[in-house]
Amino acid sequence: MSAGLALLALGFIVLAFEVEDVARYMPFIVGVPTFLLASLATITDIADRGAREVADGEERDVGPHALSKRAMWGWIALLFGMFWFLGMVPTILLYISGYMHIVGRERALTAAAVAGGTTLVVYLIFVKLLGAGVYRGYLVGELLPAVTGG
Amino acid sequence: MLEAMIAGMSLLADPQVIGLVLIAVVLAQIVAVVPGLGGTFLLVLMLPFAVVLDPGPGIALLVAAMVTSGTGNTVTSVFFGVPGSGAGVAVIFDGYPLARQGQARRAVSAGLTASAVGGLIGAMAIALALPVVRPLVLLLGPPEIFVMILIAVFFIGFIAEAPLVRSLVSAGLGMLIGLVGQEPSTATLRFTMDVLYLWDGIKLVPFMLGLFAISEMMDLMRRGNSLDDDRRKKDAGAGTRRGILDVFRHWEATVRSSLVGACVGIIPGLGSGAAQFMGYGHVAKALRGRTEVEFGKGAIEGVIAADAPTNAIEGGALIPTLAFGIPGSSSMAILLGAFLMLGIQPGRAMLEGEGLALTWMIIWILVFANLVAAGLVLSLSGPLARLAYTRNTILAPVILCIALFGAYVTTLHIGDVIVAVVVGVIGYFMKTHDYSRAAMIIGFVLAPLGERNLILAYNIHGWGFVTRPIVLGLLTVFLLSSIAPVLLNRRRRAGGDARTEEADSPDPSR
Repeated sequence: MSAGLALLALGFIVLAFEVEDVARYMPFIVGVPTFLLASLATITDIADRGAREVADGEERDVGPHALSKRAMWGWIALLFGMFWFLGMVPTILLYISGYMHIVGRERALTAAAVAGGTTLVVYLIFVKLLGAGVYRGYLVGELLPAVTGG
Repeated sequence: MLEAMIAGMSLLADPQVIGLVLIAVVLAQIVAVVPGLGGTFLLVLMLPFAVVLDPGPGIALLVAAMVTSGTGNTVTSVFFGVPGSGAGVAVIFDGYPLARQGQARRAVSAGLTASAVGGLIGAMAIALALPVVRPLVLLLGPPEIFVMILIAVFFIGFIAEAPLVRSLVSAGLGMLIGLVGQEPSTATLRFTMDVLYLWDGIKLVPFMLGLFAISEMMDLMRRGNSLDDDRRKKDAGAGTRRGILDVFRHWEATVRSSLVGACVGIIPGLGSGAAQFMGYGHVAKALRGRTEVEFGKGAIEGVIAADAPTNAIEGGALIPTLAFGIPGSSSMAILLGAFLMLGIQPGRAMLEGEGLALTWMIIWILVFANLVAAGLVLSLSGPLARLAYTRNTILAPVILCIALFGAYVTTLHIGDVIVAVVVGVIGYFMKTHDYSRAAMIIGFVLAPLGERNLILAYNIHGWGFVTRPIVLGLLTVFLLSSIAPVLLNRRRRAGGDARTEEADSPDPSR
């Protein structure tokens, strides 16, 4: 982690060379000490390897229905994929009910009720009352119009 | 000043503003009792909706949520010994023992009243500080503000929840990410990698949603539901009235810890968790031997001392945020971001004309929202306590969906959703590897302000701005205050070693 952050800081410093003087003052003032400190943290990490991984190891306290690392990444990727492809409203409905039913072992009716309730609250308060926009997704927004020519 | 006070009051008297304050107070109490969530989290979720309102109502929504987010913590801390956030931990020391003695309602009402009184004292602190702070602010130019920003970032590293080096790395990276986009004086594109979306820089809302909401929910997914299944609601007992009166009977504890809270708020980076412990520690030390029950074993003064600073801190923290544009905590950083998005420039502008009226509206909201929150939680403590048992398998998907929605509505661009998810992943790794997300968000918000002042200082004075008297004074105080603790620590350690050696050496008199 620390090595990654050191590389990130180094990336900012290198990219700052590409811009004119005034635009690189602040990135240098902040970037150089950040890179040095991140390098120091990397050395410390190597010195006591593993000790810093506070809660991500197998030793952490986990309760019922805890996800493995791989499953967690899968669910996050699924959420983003659904949001991009299906849009906001179907994602809220399907993701919440799916997660509650599959991971939380909730009854299908309870899961559907919570998902429906959340969708309704989000729609009524945020979309209708506060006028927030709704993302329609790639399927409805772009793919279907392209296929149907509409 | 009187005109501004009245103007501020009339801004608050707008029915839309009052309605939004009430909504914010209710939501803040719901969030406060759910473990793992907190005021920062609520602010992040509210931000996209606040910034589309007019400045007055937008600020009212956020300020009311922020100043009352510590109130509901008391309920779960007392009833179950489970804090809603870091700001509820110190209440457990005496609140939970009181609940086990059948005095839960007394403890809850004392805690809630103390936090309301603390909020009022915090509001008074900011009202009293305004005339003092105003001339001070007028003395400061871009060089001084730039140096103050750098010092603030450094001190956040000292006192954030993570180790110093890691907090400084977090703050530094936050600043670098905050510099993505156009450089303000020349409009040079920087770090954009030819991506059109990045020309305007990374937006505050998706960045914060990712860093706090998404990463937190990822952690909840990994943790699963709570292991503690046999938590049972304790006998609440009676004593609501007694608890309220306790706050005034033990006024010394109330006033002392509230003042500690307000003072802690002024120092960037400490937060309400630290304020609670400091207030509690200070009162426990001051009243040692003078209480009926020992601290930590169910002393009502302990509950008061722990709860009074939770809302008092917000009044104190607003002083540097409004007067200097330097946020004292992650919630203040969010509020500062909201100010800028709403077209309000903190600093001199907040202490003059229309800005001063807005400042007074904020002070009135501190008073009004605190009273409403205390009354609300007092009457709804039972049902609110039940929310603490919301299963993580329900909470995680619901919050994740709302967070992505919140990220999207800021600019209606899918790029914001991508930023939220990517920053969420970074935030998750930061959380699991002991890096400070609070320091990162403060760095992110302060970077553009810092750069603007740096460029102005450079254009006016050249690099010679570092030799200006106030800048030199600030740097000297900064160097002394950062080196002194290290030297004192080393001296103490050396003294300890010498004593150990002395004790280990054979006694010649024997």
